[in-house]
Order: sequence, then structure tokens, then C-alpha cells
Amino acid sequence: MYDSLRIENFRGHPDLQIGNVARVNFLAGRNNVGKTAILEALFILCGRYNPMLAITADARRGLDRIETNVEPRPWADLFLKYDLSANIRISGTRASGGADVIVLRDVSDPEALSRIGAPYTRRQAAGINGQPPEGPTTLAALELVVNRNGKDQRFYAVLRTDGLAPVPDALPPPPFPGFIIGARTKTPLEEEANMFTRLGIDGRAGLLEDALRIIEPELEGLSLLMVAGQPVIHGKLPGFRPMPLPIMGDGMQRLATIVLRIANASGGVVLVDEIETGLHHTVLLDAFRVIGKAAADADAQVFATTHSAECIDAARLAFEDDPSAFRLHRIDRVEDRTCAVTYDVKTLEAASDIGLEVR
Amino acid sequence: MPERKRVEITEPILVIVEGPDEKRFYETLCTKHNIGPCQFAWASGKDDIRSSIRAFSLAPGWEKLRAVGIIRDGDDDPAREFASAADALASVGWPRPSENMLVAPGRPGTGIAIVPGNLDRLCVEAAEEDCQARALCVNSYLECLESAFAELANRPKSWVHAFLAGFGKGDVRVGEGAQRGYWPLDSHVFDDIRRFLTELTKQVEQQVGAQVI
Repeated sequence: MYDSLRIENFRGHPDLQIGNVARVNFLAGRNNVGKTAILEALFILCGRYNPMLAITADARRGLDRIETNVEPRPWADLFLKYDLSANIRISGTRASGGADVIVLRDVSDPEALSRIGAPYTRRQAAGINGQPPEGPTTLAALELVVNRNGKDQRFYAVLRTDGLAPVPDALPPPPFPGFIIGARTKTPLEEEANMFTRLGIDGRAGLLEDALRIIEPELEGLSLLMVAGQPVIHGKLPGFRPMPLPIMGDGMQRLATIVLRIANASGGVVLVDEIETGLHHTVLLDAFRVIGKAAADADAQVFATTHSAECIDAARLAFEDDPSAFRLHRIDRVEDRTCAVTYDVKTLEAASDIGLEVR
Repeated sequence: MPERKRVEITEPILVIVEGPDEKRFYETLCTKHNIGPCQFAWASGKDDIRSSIRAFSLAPGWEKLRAVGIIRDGDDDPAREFASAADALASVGWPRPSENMLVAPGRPGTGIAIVPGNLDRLCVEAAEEDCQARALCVNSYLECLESAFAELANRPKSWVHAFLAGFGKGDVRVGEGAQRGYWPLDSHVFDDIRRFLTELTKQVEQQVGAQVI
């Protein structure tokens, strides 16, 4: 679990430091201040050895472009002001001691590129326009430097004329689970079915049922049934045949998505963009209680963006019995830098009493 | 019922008072004497001024602040009121004023004004001097009550209610009375508060001047 974070030269953040990080953290702030960028930075940090995660960030925002003829480097917009000469640095200090640090660096020098020595494999030849490769040329690379077992190790996302590939081909697994839940991304139903199965194996399926009863108190139970050849979580209501969660409602699916990932993120991090999406204000208090408990049980850490005052008020109340488990961090842009302003539960209560804005 | 609009920091001078009615009173005082622009806000009860000040120090727009003033009633123990306000300012890293009504320089500059007794008492004093005819009526009324029944538990509060009721507009509170022009806001009784608010505005002028240099 992290207790402070630092993000340098990433997206719109020249040097953002967030202290007093708790188990459950909400990120607030005006539009375009870089809240989602913080989730992306953390996701890259949690992925640790996988530079390809950095490149998929744009796709998660609905911007699908890995085209060499449009943008010479698909990672360019990760760098502050598109300045590829200023390395990105993302670090997190662990509450238990020590720090995790990664550095992202653009590599364009031909000599340096030749040293990367990517073994070309046919599997990696995804092709840019569906054309078969003809002697692929390496165009650029994104280098990820991470300190592992006391020494710096380098991993690359290599952009070639035939596509984008990681180097080395087989990346080490991340040190702990990290999940990112977008505000608009499609739910990966099969992945959720797997997570639900794991909960069932661990005897914890009741956790998800209890969570979903916040929205649908009549829920009799959950089961896995096949839909179009893939397993999908179904909910059973009295007098109805089992229904896939997405059919039952956006709120059911959204809460299931969040709770499943937290429960499956033992010792890891869950990142949620616009946590209020799909949830009616009347269920927020209980939903945040469940999220807080699930995070504590799994020893997982949660970071979630929000624009909603109701959401912040509900979280403040949900954590009043365990105030150290929650913080609100508002990201402010002051002149040309960004900074974090952190509220604890007691200060949020005072702000609420006075009628002060905190978002 | 529509949600109350939440307050953000909009002006470089923030003056924190004890409640919404005090806010109306001091806002009117500033407007009448062309002091400001000051933003007035009120903090929750006396017990937790530290959390309130912390919430103000973090509120959106905090970077605009150049001066912060606290105006509070001294009640029975003005020294304690001053100390708790000073502790609250220091707890968020702001300058700690050394004396009542003096502004400590810094960014933001800070000052604390502890009103002798309470705002009701100041208003009584001002009205007794500057609205003598009405004040005589109110005094006669209260003396009559006290002689017939018992001593009033909170005479200044009874006094201001009786005074304001005399204008015939129903249940008017002290701050609303100021807005309606019932209180003599030119009275020398309010001089200290006016000087204090003016000193806060000078902090802003000095800081802007320093930036120009």
C-alpha cells in the first residue's frame, strides 16, 4: 500500500506530489486538471515491467490510434507538453517502507535503438495496415526503467514498421495486481466471470451478493451461466428467470465490476474513473462501506476520481468509524503546475458543516 | 429543496465570522465604508474552529488568499477566544497574530478581532449613543420588564430584539438590521473593527506592491 505518490513530466503534471494517501482515496478537481492521468500513471507503476500499458492508456480514453503515419510515437502524449526529452518518472512510497520507481524514456537515437536488439517474431507482426512485413525497421522505442532486485532493468515497447511489440517478448509478471476501471469502457464479462469463480472457490461469493443487495435488496443469488458461448454472471430476482448483470442495470454491473476487482486485488491497487457512474445517490453510502470493507479484507488500495459532491459526502460518512482509511485529494492547477490538496474525514465534515466547496 | 451553493474562495481577503447573521452584519459594514472587496464566510460552532480553518485553507481558490481575518465574540473569556483562533491559524501554517486586532504579515497575512462581549453588545452601545430616542424607549421597556418580573438572562440580546422590533418589520436579526440601515454603522463603537478590516486590505495592497517591484 502506498502512502505517498509522485508523478513527474506525465501528461499535464510537471511534478505532482500526493501525500497522506489512505486505503481508499478519491481524486477530485476541475475538468482537465489531470485526475484520470493520475490513475493512468498509477496503472503503469503497478504494471511495473510492462511499457505496453503506457501505450494502451489512450485507447482506454476512447482514443484508438497506433498509427505511425499520424503520430510518430504513440506514447508522445504521455510526455508533458509532448516534450520527449524530459523523462517521465512515477514513484510511490510504501507504507511498509521503501519506494517503487519507474522511469519512462523515449528512445530515438539509431544507435540506441540498434542496441535494443528486438528479436523479430512473426507473432509480433500485427501489421499496421494489415500488410505483411517486409523487413521491419525499428522506428522508435519507449524505454521503461525499473529497479528490480537492486539493479536497474530495462523493458521496451518497440515501434517498428510492422507494429508495436514488447521487448523482451516475455515480460515478468507485475509484483501485485493492478486494475483500472474506466468511466466508459466496456465490461470484460469473461474476466469478471473468472473473478467471480475465484471468489466462489475461496468461499467469498457472498461478498458480491451482499454488495449487489445494496442496489437490489430482493436479489436471491448469483450464478454463472453461458451467454453466446461465454460465461456471464447472472442475478436471480423473485419471479424472474436469472438475468445477466448488465441487463439488470448499469448500477448492478458497475458495483459488481468494482467489488470483484477489489476482492481479486490482494495487496494490489484498484483504479476507478468516475466512481459515481451508474450509481444512484441513495446507494452511495452503503456502496462505499462495502468498498471500504472489501479493500481492507483484500489489503487492496483504491483510487477513484469523482466530480460528485454527493459521492464525497457519502464517502465521508461511510468512513466516519474508520477515518484513517479515507482521504479526498483535490488536484488544483496553480499557474503552470498541479498540486494536491488533501482532506481527511474530520476536515471534510467541517467543510460540509460550513457549506464549503471541496471539489 | 435545491442544494445550498457551496462556498469557494473568490476574493484575496477572507473574513471568517461566527454565523450567517454576523456575516450579513460585517459585510454591510464593509460595503458602507468601502472596505474591501472582502469575502465573508462563517465557521461552524466555537468548539472546532481548528477544523473549520483547515477546511478554509484547503478550499478551492486557496491560492488567491492574501489576507485572512477572524472576527469572534469575546464573551466571558476573550483571551481564550483569541488563543484558540491563533492556534487554528498556526495549525495550517499561517502566521500567528501576536495581539488582538493586529495583522501578522505573511501570505496570507492574518488577524484576529475579538469583539468585547459580543456583537449584540456593540450594537447596543452604538444605538444608545447614536439612536438615543429609540434607545430610551427600549431601556424603559426592558427596565419595566425587569422590575415587574426578573432580571433578563441576556440583556444585550433582549435589547437588540426589542430595538429591531421597533422598526415594525417583524423578526429582524442583527445582520438584517444592518442591511436595512437600522444600526448606526458610522458609530465610533465600530472603529476598531473598521480599522481591523482596513488593515487586512492593506496586506493585499502591500503584497501586490511587492510583486510590482
